[in-house]
Amino acid sequence: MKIERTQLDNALKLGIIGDLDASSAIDLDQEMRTALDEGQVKLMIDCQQLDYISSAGLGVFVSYLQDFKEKSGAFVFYGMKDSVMNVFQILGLDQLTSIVPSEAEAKELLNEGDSQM
Amino acid sequence: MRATHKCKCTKENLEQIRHFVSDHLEGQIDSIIGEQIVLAIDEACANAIIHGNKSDPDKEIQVIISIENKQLEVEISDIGNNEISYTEADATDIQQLVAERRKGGLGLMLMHTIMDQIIFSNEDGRNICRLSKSLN
Repeated sequence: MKIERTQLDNALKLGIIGDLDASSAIDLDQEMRTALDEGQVKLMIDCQQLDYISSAGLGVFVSYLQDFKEKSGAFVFYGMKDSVMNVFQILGLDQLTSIVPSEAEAKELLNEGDSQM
Repeated sequence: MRATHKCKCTKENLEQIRHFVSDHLEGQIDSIIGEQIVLAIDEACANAIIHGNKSDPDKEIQVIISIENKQLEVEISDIGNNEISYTEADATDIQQLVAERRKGGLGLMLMHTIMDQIIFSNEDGRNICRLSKSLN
């Protein structure tokens, strides 16, 4: 699994490539911790090349949801494959997180959050 | 259909276990159900490798899958000395996990949602997890 990090004007984009399972979730955890420590409040999670996710990866995202919420931040997932979306839906995580089809919609959602602040 | 796979107890071997399962389920069941079953087995194997055997590469895990009369049976066994306690992981409320910033607890939730039955036992020094699902 690989994570590609891109700093945008008002958000950090993390592109997750491959399988996010118990062996690779620690890398995601480190990226999320770094983002939080850097003071990043807006995160875009590019899932277009995310082939698989298990509870280890989901658990990392769940564990940071509250931290970002408390900083009035947000993270949005986009470009999710059906098989990955299905896992979010099984757990009801699609109701607790923002998931949109495209990067453009992800940016729009994060910018909407700006205008509401 | 019945197939067996053995490998060392390392997290890196979870991928080969997933491939073993998906290869043997291909053509036998609907692809979405198949992906969910791969996930449930991955969760059970991760538990056995990480909690049951502390990711010890000198230990082995065995996965047996069988489909007979539209019933899927999976047996995951290891030779772990630790009794696996699942009470900590038995969270039922995802909102609670978010509020507590917990990383664990989702694996069992997924397994219970996907499979019809899950039975844990310890037999002759082996930890065994049996999963079953009707494919009707």
